Amino acid sequence: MQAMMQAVGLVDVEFSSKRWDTFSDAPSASSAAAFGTQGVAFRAVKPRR
Amino acid sequence: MAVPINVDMQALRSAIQDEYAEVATTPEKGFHFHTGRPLARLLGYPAEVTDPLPEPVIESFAGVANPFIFGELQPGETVVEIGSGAGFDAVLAAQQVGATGRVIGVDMTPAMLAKARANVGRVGLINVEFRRGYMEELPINDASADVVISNGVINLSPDKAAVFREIARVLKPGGRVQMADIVVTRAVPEAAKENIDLWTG
Repeated sequence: MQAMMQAVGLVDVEFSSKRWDTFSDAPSASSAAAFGTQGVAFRAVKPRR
Repeated sequence: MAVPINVDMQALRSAIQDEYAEVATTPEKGFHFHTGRPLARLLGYPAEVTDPLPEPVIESFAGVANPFIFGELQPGETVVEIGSGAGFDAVLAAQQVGATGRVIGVDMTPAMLAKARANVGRVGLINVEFRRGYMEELPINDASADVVISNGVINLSPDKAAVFREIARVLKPGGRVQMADIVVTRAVPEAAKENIDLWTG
């Protein structure tokens, strides 16, 4: 995702150090859990001209 | 460089809409992801913010992280939410930007749009609107947003490069993204990437 954001000109890309385990123990079985899926927050800025 | 994924976009969108229509109408059913107040607690949304919300506003929440961890939005800002679902994050955003700000939620699932519109009425907000559209073709004017938010949605697009081009298009110069999505810690086989059932479950 970082590369895609930078490719469209976004800068100051930052990912949260915190990750959330949002699929483990969900009510239904999930392929997401099998791939070690984690939630993450991120931000980026569109430069001023 | 993003690698194109060989998946039928229309079939994928249809499968995702079916899944999220169920999240809108039967949130208690139980899905392969967590939902509602327990999820909001897991993701660190403050109880003083979520506790006052009527159950329909939060019960279909299906985010994956907390885009507000980087700070609250500012009064007066114009916010676009990609994949606004039943409106939980949009309501929080609208409360943060206040009466001088504006939130536009975009979602492709009619059942979610209907629930989101009802939800903003439940909490008495008039600075939020919801539009039907796709994240690869946002129904938003160029350079009109101070902030683009999203929570667990971009991973559902097989053309993420197009999504980020749209984000860059709608942001004002100096605007920002505050988003949440998923990362995988184990390699996903190419065959799995082309299996629509795995995109939605």
